[in-house]
Amino acid sequence: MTDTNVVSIDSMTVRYGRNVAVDAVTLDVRRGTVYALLGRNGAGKSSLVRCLVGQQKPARGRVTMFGEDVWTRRTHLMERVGIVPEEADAPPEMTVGALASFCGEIYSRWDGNAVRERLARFEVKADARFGTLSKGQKKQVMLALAMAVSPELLVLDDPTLGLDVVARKSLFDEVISDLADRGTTTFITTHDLAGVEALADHVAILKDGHLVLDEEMEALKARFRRIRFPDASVALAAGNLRTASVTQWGGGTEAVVSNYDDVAFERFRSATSLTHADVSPMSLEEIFIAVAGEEARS
Amino acid sequence: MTRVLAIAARDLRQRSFVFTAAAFMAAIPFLAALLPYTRWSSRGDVISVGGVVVSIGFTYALAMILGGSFVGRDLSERRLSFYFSKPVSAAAIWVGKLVAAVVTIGLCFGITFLPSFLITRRVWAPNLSGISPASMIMANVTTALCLLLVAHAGSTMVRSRSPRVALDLLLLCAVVGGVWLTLRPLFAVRAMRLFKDVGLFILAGLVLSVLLAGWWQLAKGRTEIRRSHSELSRSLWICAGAIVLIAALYVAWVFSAGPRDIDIKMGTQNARGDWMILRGPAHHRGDYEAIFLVNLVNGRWMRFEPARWGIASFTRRGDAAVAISPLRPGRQWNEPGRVTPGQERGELYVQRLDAPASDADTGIQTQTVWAGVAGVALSDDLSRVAIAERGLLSVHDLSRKALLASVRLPMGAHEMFFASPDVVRFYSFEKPDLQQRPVAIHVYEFDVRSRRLQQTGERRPFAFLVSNTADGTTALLNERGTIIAADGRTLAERFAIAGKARAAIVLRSGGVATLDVSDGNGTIRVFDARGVHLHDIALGRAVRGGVREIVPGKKLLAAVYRNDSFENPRGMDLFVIDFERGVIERREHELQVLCGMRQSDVMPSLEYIVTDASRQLWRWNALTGVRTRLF
Repeated sequence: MTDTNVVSIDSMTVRYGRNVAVDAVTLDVRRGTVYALLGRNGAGKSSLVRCLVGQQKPARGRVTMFGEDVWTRRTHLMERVGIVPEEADAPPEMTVGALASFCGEIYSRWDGNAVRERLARFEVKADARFGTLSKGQKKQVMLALAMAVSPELLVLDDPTLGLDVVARKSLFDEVISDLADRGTTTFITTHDLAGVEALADHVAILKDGHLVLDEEMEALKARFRRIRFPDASVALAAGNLRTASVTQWGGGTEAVVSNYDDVAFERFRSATSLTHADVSPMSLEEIFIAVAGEEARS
Repeated sequence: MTRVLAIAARDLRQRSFVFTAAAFMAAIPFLAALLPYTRWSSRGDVISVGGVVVSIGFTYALAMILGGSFVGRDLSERRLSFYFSKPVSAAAIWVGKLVAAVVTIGLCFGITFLPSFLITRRVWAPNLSGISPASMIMANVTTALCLLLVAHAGSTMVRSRSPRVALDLLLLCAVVGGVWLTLRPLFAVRAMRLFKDVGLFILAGLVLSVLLAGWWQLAKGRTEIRRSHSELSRSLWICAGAIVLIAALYVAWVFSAGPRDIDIKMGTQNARGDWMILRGPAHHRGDYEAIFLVNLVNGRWMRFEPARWGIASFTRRGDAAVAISPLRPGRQWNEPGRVTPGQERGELYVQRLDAPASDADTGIQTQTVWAGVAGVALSDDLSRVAIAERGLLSVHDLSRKALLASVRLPMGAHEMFFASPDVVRFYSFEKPDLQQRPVAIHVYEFDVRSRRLQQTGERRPFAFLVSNTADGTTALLNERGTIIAADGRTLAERFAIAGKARAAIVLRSGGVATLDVSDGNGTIRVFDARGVHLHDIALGRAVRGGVREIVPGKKLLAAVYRNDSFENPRGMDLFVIDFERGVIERREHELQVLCGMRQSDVMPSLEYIVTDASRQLWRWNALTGVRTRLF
């Protein structure tokens, strides 16, 4: 781990009985970046997040945050972290106002005005009981509480799960504006790939507990391309192009290439005497589907 | 601290509706008092008793509910992450939630209890058997805390739905079994203060174990319910096991006390001189009083535990030790000073000295404990026992544990013994009423086979039975200082010895030796089998004492107190007297002999067990005067 890393996960394994939920995952989250961890349901994202914030002890490996062991120094570290959990865990009988004042007593650094402003912006009343709020409002309240400590690290565990488009946008807008203001390091797990695509600097994909991808967003998007050509069988290997997936359609072929660059593509084209080929960039969602598995389309 | 208070305050606010419910419950005793069938005179009683019942019921139910939910619910509903995602330690979460639960219970108890108590405090104590409010509150708070913690542990285990619950049940059984095995021996020997102290130690330890386990559960299990359960279980059972182990080791240490570890309160040497009973509180072991049977030949000893509260003694011939011990200790056994004579049923223990490994429990129950071993006689072959108590004489077969016969006693029974295996002889005093002196002494024989009670002799006016021979042929009676040698069965007078006798024995020759005390001076007087005076041996200052024959036809041992203290060996002198020549052979100062001084039979051994002024035990050879320390 270097000083630039806010979070370092080293060979972390999480087990539930004989099931391995996270298998020897190693990753680093650099200061000031937005780190998006993607994965299908059951890939091990939530287990990883629980270990990341010191709520669960991994079976093996170590998690450090700001250079300190998160399991042993959790209480101290949580002063610097804002968390929006996957399921809003605040007591349902508490009013939003009571929740805010409770958190105000807990944290040494607390910006009550910021909470009030955000709640006003989200149109959530302070006297509303938390349990009576909609799912979106609950997430907004949790986000407002997490932001009120001016966190150095913001952990968002699937923050848009179950939210409609408007609520999703409002939540991401809030994060983006905070990032713009303060450059908070953000660790986010989400299914909302479109939303996170504009936000994330770094992407990792967790598949069946294994980290199958972990790199900068720009680099990722630069090396993944979709290539379509009319021939049914073309040797992509001729240009040293690695395929993440190959699909036959009509008389042609669609291949997702994971190490695209112009030189390699020209080498491939000259080697195969291919007259026509469409090369198009891919969205994060398309890359995710190609990497996390074809069955993910369902 | 701020965070603990914030969590406690949050939980308290969440449960504010409970206080409203408590206020409604507090009204129930008052509403009950308004019911039409309640008389005006008893309305105070209804309110006071109702207040106690409602407050205890509500508090305990609340403790169970809160215990089952104050952490367990958050765990199972995955809400504990709300706290763990904040800079709050596991200890702060646990203490904050616990404080809130305890305060809720305390306030609810106050709300339900105080209104009825304040209004009816004058009739409160009499209605509740004099229980003080403070002791009731303490007992309730302790019980409620225990229920809260037990419910918390149980709730965590059940909510996790882990197969580990089966292991928890096994370990619970092991702990309960351990507590039982630890406390039972103390209960069996009626060391009730120690029983209470060790019990309280275990209870406090177990409460502390659950408190620590609750914190450990949150510190190591955090938001994972199964891990939370496993951490709770691990810490709870390790702590509980350690507590029970410490208590068990302490109890084992208490019971490891040997004869040298006790302050001797009572000691008796048997008629054969080869065994002794030692009794006294063990050093630094609370109220544990040990009774030991010590074999004086080989130095081995055994604990005679059942005799903790009974009085242990040897049989006439000295071949068995007998004790009656309470069957079931009641409240009065908590405080030795409060023992009410005759209130407890007892059970009889007979330890055969020729078979020390045999079971002493006869299985025979007695109506009282206070009758003690004075009302018990064993046949010479140790096959039968006669018990006289509460106006009833019963004879049991020891090997079959069966009642052979019983008969209603005309009066009390004294100096009871088996004249033959089938005949029990006893002496009884005739008293016109309890306040007056007896007017006559009677001899009875009860034939077990024919179940017939027969008066065989009588002496009027009354004379105390001083001594009788082992075979029962001769009895010595004391009629205002005059010793009457009489037939043991009929009390027909053989001869009388005028004087101021305080003690007398029949000599092996058939003669009589008496200890007379006159004007503060003691004299041993020796007579032949016809009552002819042989010798007077002056002993010097004496107020009372005893005499026994130690070498047939030659020597006597006289034990004389120079003052009235029974307990203090200071002031007791021992004399070895050659009564053939009428001279004192040896005088030992400040020694107390432990053997009985009323028996007319001769101890085969010449080694007597004596204690000195510092209660140290010695073997003392009456002929040579050589003393060796016993322990």
